[in-house]
Amino acid sequence: MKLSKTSATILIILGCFFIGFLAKFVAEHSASLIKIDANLARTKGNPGAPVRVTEFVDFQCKACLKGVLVLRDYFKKYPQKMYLEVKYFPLSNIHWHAIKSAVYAECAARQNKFWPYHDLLFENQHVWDRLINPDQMFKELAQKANLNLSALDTCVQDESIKKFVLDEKSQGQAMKIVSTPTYFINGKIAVGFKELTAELGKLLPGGAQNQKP
Amino acid sequence: MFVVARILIGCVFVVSGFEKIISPYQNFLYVVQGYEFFLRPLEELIARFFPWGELILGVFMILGFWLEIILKILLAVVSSFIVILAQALLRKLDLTECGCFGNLLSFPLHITILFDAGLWILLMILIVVKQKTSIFGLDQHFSKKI
Repeated sequence: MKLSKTSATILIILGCFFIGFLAKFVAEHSASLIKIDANLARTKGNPGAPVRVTEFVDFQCKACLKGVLVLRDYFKKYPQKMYLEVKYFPLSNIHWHAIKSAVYAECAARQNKFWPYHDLLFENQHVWDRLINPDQMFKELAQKANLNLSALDTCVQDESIKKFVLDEKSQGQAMKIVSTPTYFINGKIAVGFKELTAELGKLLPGGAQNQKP
Repeated sequence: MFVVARILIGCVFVVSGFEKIISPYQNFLYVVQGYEFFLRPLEELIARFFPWGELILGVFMILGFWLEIILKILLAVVSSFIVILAQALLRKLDLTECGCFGNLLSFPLHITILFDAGLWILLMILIVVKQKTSIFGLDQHFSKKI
Protein backbone atom coordinates (compact mmCIF):
# COMPACT_ATOMS: atom_id res chain seq x y z
CA MET A 1 0.00 0.00 0.00
CA LYS A 2 1.47 3.32 -1.07
CA LEU A 3 1.00 6.23 1.28
CA SER A 4 0.87 9.81 0.07
CA LYS A 5 2.85 12.51 1.87
CA THR A 6 -0.35 14.16 3.12
CA SER A 7 -1.74 10.88 4.46
CA ALA A 8 1.55 10.15 6.22
CA THR A 9 1.47 13.62 7.79
CA ILE A 10 -2.04 13.10 9.09
CA LEU A 11 -1.17 9.63 10.39
CA ILE A 12 1.88 10.91 12.28
CA ILE A 13 -0.08 13.78 13.86
CA LEU A 14 -2.89 11.42 14.87
CA GLY A 15 -0.30 8.99 16.27
CA CYS A 16 1.19 11.79 18.38
CA PHE A 17 -2.24 12.69 19.76
CA PHE A 18 -3.08 9.04 20.44
CA ILE A 19 0.13 8.36 22.37
CA GLY A 20 -0.07 11.71 24.17
CA PHE A 21 -3.67 11.26 25.29
CA LEU A 22 -3.04 7.64 26.28
CA ALA A 23 -0.04 8.62 28.43
CA LYS A 24 -2.00 11.54 29.89
CA PHE A 25 -4.92 9.25 30.75
CA VAL A 26 -2.64 6.70 32.46
CA ALA A 27 -0.80 9.45 34.40
CA GLU A 28 -4.03 11.14 35.51
CA HIS A 29 -5.65 7.83 36.44
CA SER A 30 -2.71 6.80 38.63
CA ALA A 31 -2.66 10.26 40.28
CA SER A 32 -6.41 10.15 41.00
CA LEU A 33 -6.00 6.88 42.92
CA ILE A 34 -4.02 8.71 45.60
CA LYS A 35 -6.17 9.64 48.54
CA ILE A 36 -5.55 12.83 50.48
CA ASP A 37 -5.91 12.00 54.16
CA ALA A 38 -7.16 14.76 56.38
CA ASN A 39 -4.95 15.73 59.31
CA LEU A 40 -7.30 17.64 61.58
CA ALA A 41 -4.56 19.75 63.19
CA ARG A 42 -3.85 21.28 59.79
CA THR A 43 -7.41 22.02 58.76
CA LYS A 44 -9.63 24.99 59.37
CA GLY A 45 -13.06 26.21 58.39
CA ASN A 46 -16.37 24.48 58.05
CA PRO A 47 -15.94 20.74 57.25
CA GLY A 48 -19.25 20.86 55.35
CA ALA A 49 -18.26 23.96 53.36
CA PRO A 50 -19.00 24.07 49.64
CA VAL A 51 -15.44 25.20 48.86
CA ARG A 52 -12.77 22.75 50.01
CA VAL A 53 -9.15 23.69 49.45
CA THR A 54 -6.11 21.48 49.94
CA GLU A 55 -2.92 23.48 49.84
CA PHE A 56 0.53 22.01 49.20
CA VAL A 57 2.83 24.52 50.79
CA ASP A 58 6.48 25.41 51.24
CA PHE A 59 6.92 27.89 54.09
CA GLN A 60 9.95 29.49 52.42
CA CYS A 61 8.17 30.13 49.12
CA LYS A 62 7.17 33.74 48.46
CA ALA A 63 4.27 32.84 46.20
CA CYS A 64 2.88 30.69 49.03
CA LEU A 65 2.82 33.78 51.23
CA LYS A 66 0.74 35.56 48.60
CA GLY A 67 -1.60 32.56 48.49
CA VAL A 68 -1.94 32.61 52.26
CA LEU A 69 -3.06 36.24 52.09
CA VAL A 70 -5.63 35.43 49.40
CA LEU A 71 -7.01 32.56 51.49
CA ARG A 72 -7.05 34.72 54.62
CA ASP A 73 -9.21 37.29 52.83
CA TYR A 74 -11.62 34.62 51.64
CA PHE A 75 -11.86 33.15 55.13
CA LYS A 76 -12.68 36.60 56.51
CA LYS A 77 -15.38 37.11 53.92
CA TYR A 78 -16.79 33.58 53.76
CA PRO A 79 -16.02 31.85 57.06
CA GLN A 80 -18.79 29.27 56.63
CA LYS A 81 -18.14 28.55 52.98
CA MET A 82 -14.46 27.64 53.17
CA TYR A 83 -12.55 24.62 54.37
CA LEU A 84 -8.77 24.46 54.14
CA GLU A 85 -6.29 21.69 54.65
CA VAL A 86 -2.53 22.18 54.48
CA LYS A 87 -0.03 19.60 53.23
CA TYR A 88 3.74 19.94 53.21
CA PHE A 89 5.64 20.22 49.95
CA PRO A 90 9.12 21.52 50.83
CA LEU A 91 11.14 22.45 47.75
CA SER A 92 14.47 21.69 49.36
CA ASN A 93 16.38 22.01 46.07
CA ILE A 94 15.72 25.75 45.96
CA HIS A 95 14.79 26.60 49.56
CA TRP A 96 17.39 25.81 52.21
CA HIS A 97 15.05 25.92 55.17
CA ALA A 98 12.00 24.39 53.50
CA ILE A 99 12.22 21.02 55.28
CA LYS A 100 13.22 22.48 58.64
CA SER A 101 10.34 24.99 58.65
CA ALA A 102 7.91 22.19 57.75
CA VAL A 103 9.30 20.04 60.57
CA TYR A 104 8.77 22.88 63.07
CA ALA A 105 5.25 23.43 61.72
CA GLU A 106 4.46 19.74 62.07
CA CYS A 107 5.74 19.78 65.63
CA ALA A 108 3.47 22.75 66.29
CA ALA A 109 0.60 20.80 64.74
CA ARG A 110 1.27 17.98 67.20
CA GLN A 111 0.73 20.48 69.99
CA ASN A 112 -2.46 21.69 68.27
CA LYS A 113 -0.83 25.04 67.50
CA PHE A 114 -0.40 24.63 63.78
CA TRP A 115 -2.33 27.71 62.65
CA PRO A 116 -0.73 30.32 64.92
CA TYR A 117 2.68 28.89 64.07
CA HIS A 118 1.84 28.74 60.36
CA ASP A 119 0.85 32.42 60.42
CA LEU A 120 4.00 33.41 62.33
CA LEU A 121 6.22 31.49 59.91
CA PHE A 122 4.74 33.33 56.95
CA GLU A 123 4.67 36.74 58.63
CA ASN A 124 8.37 36.40 59.42
CA GLN A 125 9.39 34.61 56.26
CA HIS A 126 11.38 37.63 55.05
CA VAL A 127 13.52 37.44 58.22
CA TRP A 128 14.29 33.71 58.64
CA ASP A 129 14.57 33.26 54.88
CA ARG A 130 17.92 35.08 55.04
CA LEU A 131 19.36 33.33 58.08
CA ILE A 132 22.00 30.62 57.74
CA ASN A 133 20.63 28.82 60.78
CA PRO A 134 17.00 29.72 61.49
CA ASP A 135 16.55 27.40 64.52
CA GLN A 136 16.76 30.22 67.06
CA MET A 137 14.16 32.23 65.16
CA PHE A 138 11.88 29.20 64.80
CA LYS A 139 12.07 28.71 68.58
CA GLU A 140 11.29 32.37 69.22
CA LEU A 141 8.23 32.05 66.99
CA ALA A 142 7.25 28.90 68.86
CA GLN A 143 7.42 30.86 72.11
CA LYS A 144 5.17 33.51 70.60
CA ALA A 145 2.71 30.79 69.60
CA ASN A 146 2.74 29.45 73.17
CA LEU A 147 4.26 26.10 72.28
CA ASN A 148 5.85 23.86 74.86
CA LEU A 149 9.50 24.42 73.99
CA SER A 150 10.99 21.29 75.51
CA ALA A 151 8.41 19.13 73.73
CA LEU A 152 9.17 21.09 70.56
CA ASP A 153 12.91 20.40 70.93
CA THR A 154 12.31 16.67 71.31
CA CYS A 155 9.91 16.66 68.36
CA VAL A 156 12.28 18.57 66.07
CA GLN A 157 15.11 16.10 66.82
CA ASP A 158 12.84 13.18 65.97
CA GLU A 159 13.83 11.91 62.51
CA SER A 160 10.37 10.40 62.00
CA ILE A 161 8.91 13.94 61.74
CA LYS A 162 11.22 14.76 58.84
CA LYS A 163 10.28 11.45 57.25
CA PHE A 164 6.60 12.31 57.75
CA VAL A 165 7.09 15.65 55.97
CA LEU A 166 8.99 14.02 53.11
CA ASP A 167 6.37 11.28 52.80
CA GLU A 168 3.73 13.95 52.41
CA LYS A 169 5.84 15.56 49.70
CA SER A 170 6.13 12.18 47.93
CA GLN A 171 2.35 11.95 48.07
CA GLY A 172 2.18 15.32 46.33
CA GLN A 173 4.75 14.31 43.73
CA ALA A 174 2.70 11.22 42.94
CA MET A 175 -0.17 13.63 42.28
CA LYS A 176 2.06 15.38 39.70
CA ILE A 177 2.73 18.39 41.90
CA VAL A 178 5.99 20.09 40.95
CA SER A 179 5.85 23.55 42.47
CA THR A 180 4.32 25.53 45.28
CA PRO A 181 1.80 26.72 46.07
CA THR A 182 -0.38 24.06 44.49
CA TYR A 183 -4.04 23.87 45.49
CA PHE A 184 -6.83 21.43 44.96
CA ILE A 185 -10.05 23.44 44.99
CA ASN A 186 -12.97 21.04 45.17
CA GLY A 187 -10.63 18.53 43.54
CA LYS A 188 -9.51 20.81 40.71
CA ILE A 189 -5.82 21.62 40.60
CA ALA A 190 -4.66 25.25 40.62
CA VAL A 191 -0.99 26.17 40.65
CA GLY A 192 0.12 29.57 41.99
CA PHE A 193 -1.76 32.28 43.81
CA LYS A 194 -3.08 33.83 40.58
CA GLU A 195 -4.89 30.62 39.69
CA LEU A 196 -6.07 30.29 43.28
CA THR A 197 -7.59 33.77 43.07
CA ALA A 198 -9.16 33.00 39.69
CA GLU A 199 -10.68 29.69 40.82
CA LEU A 200 -11.97 31.01 44.13
CA GLY A 201 -13.36 34.03 42.30
CA LYS A 202 -15.49 31.67 40.19
CA LEU A 203 -16.84 29.86 43.25
CA LEU A 204 -17.16 32.78 45.66
CA PRO A 205 -17.44 36.00 43.66
CA GLY A 206 -15.90 39.20 44.95
CA GLY A 207 -13.62 37.53 47.47
CA ALA A 208 -10.07 38.58 48.02
CA GLN A 209 -9.17 42.22 47.56
CA ASN A 210 -5.76 42.16 49.16
CA GLN A 211 -3.33 40.06 47.16
CA LYS A 212 -0.19 41.93 48.04
CA PRO A 213 2.05 40.55 50.75
CA MET B 1 26.66 14.19 12.11
CA PHE B 2 23.88 16.50 10.89
CA VAL B 3 21.40 13.64 11.03
CA VAL B 4 22.42 12.91 14.64
CA ALA B 5 21.98 16.60 15.50
CA ARG B 6 18.55 16.58 13.84
CA ILE B 7 17.46 13.51 15.83
CA LEU B 8 18.86 14.89 19.10
CA ILE B 9 17.03 18.20 18.68
CA GLY B 10 13.87 16.26 17.87
CA CYS B 11 14.30 14.19 21.02
CA VAL B 12 14.71 17.35 23.13
CA PHE B 13 11.35 18.64 21.89
CA VAL B 14 9.61 15.26 22.20
CA VAL B 15 10.78 14.76 25.79
CA SER B 16 9.96 18.34 26.73
CA GLY B 17 6.47 18.17 25.20
CA PHE B 18 5.70 14.70 26.53
CA GLU B 19 6.69 15.58 30.09
CA LYS B 20 4.35 18.59 30.04
CA ILE B 21 1.50 16.65 28.44
CA ILE B 22 1.42 13.96 31.13
CA SER B 23 1.45 16.59 33.90
CA PRO B 24 -1.59 18.72 34.74
CA TYR B 25 -1.52 21.70 32.36
CA GLN B 26 -1.77 23.99 35.38
CA ASN B 27 1.86 23.19 36.22
CA PHE B 28 3.02 24.59 32.89
CA LEU B 29 0.54 27.47 33.17
CA TYR B 30 2.29 28.46 36.40
CA VAL B 31 5.63 28.45 34.56
CA VAL B 32 4.23 30.57 31.71
CA GLN B 33 2.66 33.04 34.16
CA GLY B 34 6.01 33.38 35.92
CA TYR B 35 7.52 35.00 32.81
CA GLU B 36 4.89 37.79 32.89
CA PHE B 37 5.11 38.08 29.11
CA PHE B 38 1.70 37.10 27.77
CA LEU B 39 -1.86 38.21 28.36
CA ARG B 40 -3.94 35.94 30.57
CA PRO B 41 -6.01 34.19 27.83
CA LEU B 42 -2.85 33.59 25.80
CA GLU B 43 -1.11 32.08 28.84
CA GLU B 44 -3.93 29.58 29.13
CA LEU B 45 -3.76 28.69 25.41
CA ILE B 46 0.02 28.27 25.52
CA ALA B 47 -0.18 26.06 28.61
CA ARG B 48 -2.81 23.83 27.03
CA PHE B 49 -1.55 23.51 23.47
CA PHE B 50 2.16 24.35 23.26
CA PRO B 51 3.30 20.97 24.70
CA TRP B 52 1.41 19.21 21.89
CA GLY B 53 3.18 21.45 19.39
CA GLU B 54 6.54 20.55 20.91
CA LEU B 55 5.74 16.84 20.69
CA ILE B 56 4.58 17.00 17.06
CA LEU B 57 7.48 19.20 15.94
CA GLY B 58 9.92 16.87 17.70
CA VAL B 59 8.48 13.77 16.05
CA PHE B 60 8.59 15.38 12.59
CA MET B 61 12.18 16.45 13.25
CA ILE B 62 13.24 12.93 14.26
CA LEU B 63 11.52 11.46 11.22
CA GLY B 64 13.00 14.12 8.94
CA PHE B 65 9.58 14.93 7.54
CA TRP B 66 8.60 18.36 6.14
CA LEU B 67 12.08 19.32 7.29
CA GLU B 68 12.32 22.66 5.53
CA ILE B 69 9.21 23.96 7.30
CA ILE B 70 9.87 22.24 10.62
CA LEU B 71 13.40 23.67 10.89
CA LYS B 72 12.06 27.19 10.29
CA ILE B 73 9.27 26.75 12.83
CA LEU B 74 11.72 25.41 15.41
CA LEU B 75 14.05 28.34 14.73
CA ALA B 76 11.15 30.72 15.37
CA VAL B 77 10.21 28.82 18.55
CA VAL B 78 13.77 28.85 19.90
CA SER B 79 14.10 32.56 19.00
CA SER B 80 10.97 33.28 21.02
CA PHE B 81 12.38 31.25 23.94
CA ILE B 82 15.48 33.43 23.86
CA VAL B 83 13.44 36.66 23.81
CA ILE B 84 11.22 35.50 26.69
CA LEU B 85 14.18 34.34 28.78
CA ALA B 86 16.13 37.52 28.05
CA GLN B 87 13.27 39.76 29.15
CA ALA B 88 12.92 37.71 32.34
CA LEU B 89 16.63 38.09 33.06
CA LEU B 90 16.62 41.80 32.25
CA ARG B 91 13.57 42.42 34.45
CA LYS B 92 15.18 40.29 37.18
CA LEU B 93 11.99 38.28 37.58
CA ASP B 94 11.90 36.01 40.61
CA LEU B 95 12.34 32.78 38.64
CA THR B 96 14.70 30.20 40.08
CA GLU B 97 14.20 27.64 37.30
CA CYS B 98 13.24 27.82 33.64
CA GLY B 99 10.50 25.18 33.87
CA CYS B 100 11.21 24.22 30.28
CA PHE B 101 11.29 20.46 30.76
CA GLY B 102 8.48 20.24 33.28
CA ASN B 103 9.45 18.09 36.25
CA LEU B 104 12.13 16.17 34.40
CA LEU B 105 14.94 18.69 34.20
CA SER B 106 15.29 22.26 35.25
CA PHE B 107 18.04 24.78 34.81
CA PRO B 108 18.60 28.35 35.97
CA LEU B 109 17.58 30.97 33.43
CA HIS B 110 21.10 32.02 32.43
CA ILE B 111 22.06 28.41 31.66
CA THR B 112 18.87 27.90 29.67
CA ILE B 113 19.44 30.98 27.52
CA LEU B 114 22.93 29.69 26.67
CA PHE B 115 21.48 26.29 25.80
CA ASP B 116 18.85 27.94 23.60
CA ALA B 117 21.49 30.09 21.91
CA GLY B 118 23.43 26.91 21.10
CA LEU B 119 20.26 25.31 19.79
CA TRP B 120 19.55 28.37 17.64
CA ILE B 121 23.02 28.20 16.06
CA LEU B 122 22.65 24.47 15.46
CA LEU B 123 19.27 24.97 13.80
CA MET B 124 20.73 27.67 11.56
CA ILE B 125 23.50 25.25 10.50
CA LEU B 126 20.93 22.51 9.83
CA ILE B 127 18.91 24.91 7.68
CA VAL B 128 22.02 25.82 5.67
CA VAL B 129 22.99 22.18 5.10
CA LYS B 130 19.43 20.98 4.63
CA GLN B 131 20.39 18.31 2.10
CA LYS B 132 22.70 16.58 4.58
CA THR B 133 20.24 17.05 7.42
CA SER B 134 17.48 15.25 5.56
CA ILE B 135 19.50 12.02 5.06
CA PHE B 136 17.58 8.99 6.37
CA GLY B 137 14.49 11.17 6.64
CA LEU B 138 10.99 10.62 5.34
CA ASP B 139 11.36 13.62 3.03
CA GLN B 140 13.95 11.68 1.03
CA HIS B 141 11.70 8.65 0.92
CA PHE B 142 8.79 10.64 -0.49
CA SER B 143 10.92 12.61 -2.97
CA LYS B 144 12.29 9.30 -4.34
CA LYS B 145 8.74 8.05 -4.87
CA ILE B 146 7.93 11.08 -6.97
